[in-house]
Amino acid sequence: MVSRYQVLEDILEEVRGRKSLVATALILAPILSFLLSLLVGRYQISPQIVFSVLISKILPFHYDVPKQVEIVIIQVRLPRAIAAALVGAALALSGTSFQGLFRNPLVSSQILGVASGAGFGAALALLLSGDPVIVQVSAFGFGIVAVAISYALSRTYRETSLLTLVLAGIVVGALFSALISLIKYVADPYEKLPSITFWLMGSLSAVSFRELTWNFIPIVVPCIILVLARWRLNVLSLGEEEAKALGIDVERMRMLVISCCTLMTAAAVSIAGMVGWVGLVIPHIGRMLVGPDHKVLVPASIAIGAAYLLIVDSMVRIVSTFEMPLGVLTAIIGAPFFAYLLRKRTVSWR
Amino acid sequence: MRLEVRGLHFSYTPEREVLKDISFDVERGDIFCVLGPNGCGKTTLLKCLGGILKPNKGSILLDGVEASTISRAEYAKLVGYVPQEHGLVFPYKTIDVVLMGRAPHLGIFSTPSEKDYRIAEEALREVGIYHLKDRPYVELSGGERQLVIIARVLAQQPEILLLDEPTSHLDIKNQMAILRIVTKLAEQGMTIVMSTHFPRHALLFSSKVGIMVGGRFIAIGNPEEVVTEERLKKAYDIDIKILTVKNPLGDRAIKVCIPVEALSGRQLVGGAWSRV
Repeated sequence: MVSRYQVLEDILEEVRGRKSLVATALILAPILSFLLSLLVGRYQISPQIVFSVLISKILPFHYDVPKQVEIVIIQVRLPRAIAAALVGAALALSGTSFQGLFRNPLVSSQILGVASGAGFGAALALLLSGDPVIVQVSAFGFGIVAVAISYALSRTYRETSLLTLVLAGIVVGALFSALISLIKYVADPYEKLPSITFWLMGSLSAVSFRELTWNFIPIVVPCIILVLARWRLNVLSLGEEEAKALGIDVERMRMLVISCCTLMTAAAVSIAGMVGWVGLVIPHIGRMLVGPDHKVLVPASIAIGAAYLLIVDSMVRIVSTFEMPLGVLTAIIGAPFFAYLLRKRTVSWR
Repeated sequence: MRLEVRGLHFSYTPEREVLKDISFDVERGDIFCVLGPNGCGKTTLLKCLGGILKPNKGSILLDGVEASTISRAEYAKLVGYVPQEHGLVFPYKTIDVVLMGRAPHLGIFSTPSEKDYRIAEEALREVGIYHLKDRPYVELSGGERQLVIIARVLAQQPEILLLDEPTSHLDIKNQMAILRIVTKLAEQGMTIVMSTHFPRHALLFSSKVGIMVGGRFIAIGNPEEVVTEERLKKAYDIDIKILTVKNPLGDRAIKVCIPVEALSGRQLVGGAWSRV
């Protein structure tokens, strides 16, 4: 066993030594996975046709294909691929930011209860109306409400302590999980319950451009802010006192990071449902490849997260004749990988 | 830069006051050593001076300017703080840890520039650990880590340096290395406040000593006059003998402090001391 780990570690060491190689791979991975994701699906279309149709939309030349084929490519696969990239990037980036902020490599984007809150919002909307727009808005809104409650609960005499914040997040997460169960319990088992359950398992199969335009800004704007402020995450990860001594307004910086992560995750969950493990595992893969410096780690996480979800979402469509729920597959791949990381903990953190 | 403290009070909870009416001043280039038993408030005092804790009452003046009127980032450009313990979770490279000292000089949306790298490398050279530049901080020894943190505070380029027990957990060689650097910095004009558990360090290196007991100074002043057997007994609640030893390298005699129990050669319960 040991020797096999050693081999893997040697490979990683080798890869880390070649910075330009890693950088190239990190740039190419999301692009290639994006193209891959446009090619796969139950409706067989040759790559040549797919790319011709795409190019004909950008460049002024006409390419004649059946209307149906064009709809599959432009209305179904393209928004789905964009959504997978955005959701993957958002979850991975908020995971990385939270791990830095909380100085804990075991937290993920869900630590403050955003996913449970969003799940509850979606379940409630599915129970009461079922209109996809209302479901999205409700998921997004309750995701933010959950984090706001966590934050409010953790306010103490002088300032917010990270430990109480995590505990408050766990409490709020548990509360919303219980409320989700309650909704499932009262939901009509033939009509409502399956749609709630399926939503909670996560999927990108119903994504259209309408959802994307809704969620584009709450994902992209916080993402830009975090990328710009990424070096500050290094200083924040030193802990409250040292960050203060280095001139950082810790309270305000925390608020900024938490707000950005919450907006991104709430939007991601409202598009894709509960997609676990991305926000936990991707930051670790990033650290293995480029090291812990957030200056490099933040862009790397975005690239890896986008590529990972694009690939998993492609697999969802390939592995079986029915569509496997996305959240199930990310967990099936993510959980064993994380177990491996726990055994080899020196690779990614102390 | 001149540091003045006037009537400082601090409490974590309303019931118990940790700092009571602290007043002192330190001139440019001075080394002010704070002695005192565990829990007397040394760390709290340094945290107040470092702007990490807000005093309940009293004022801290930097060259006559009230500290509370200075923004956090500006303050960090003037005052550097070396904490007693630093828990790094992520295995940052040493140079990246030192670079973080540039934080007060960088805007929220900027990353370190070439110039910041050069300053960080210069700081590593100054404390003599440039060769550790690319090693992960978490893999370094205690002494090396302390030097890294001192390099970080140098990269911060402050005018006042606060050190919280910089020599605890270190072996004699590393203790001397740290004290040598601190002395050099003072000679270059930095104002230094440091807490220590070693009265001999205070006697050897400081220009001013304060003995703190129960949140207040029982004496402040010249080390030779302030550090006496009675005051050390009052502070540490054990009998301490101050011995004068002839300095083999010069004519100035050196004073050393030794617990009387150790001198008597008595076997303590549990065998902590044995006859020499």
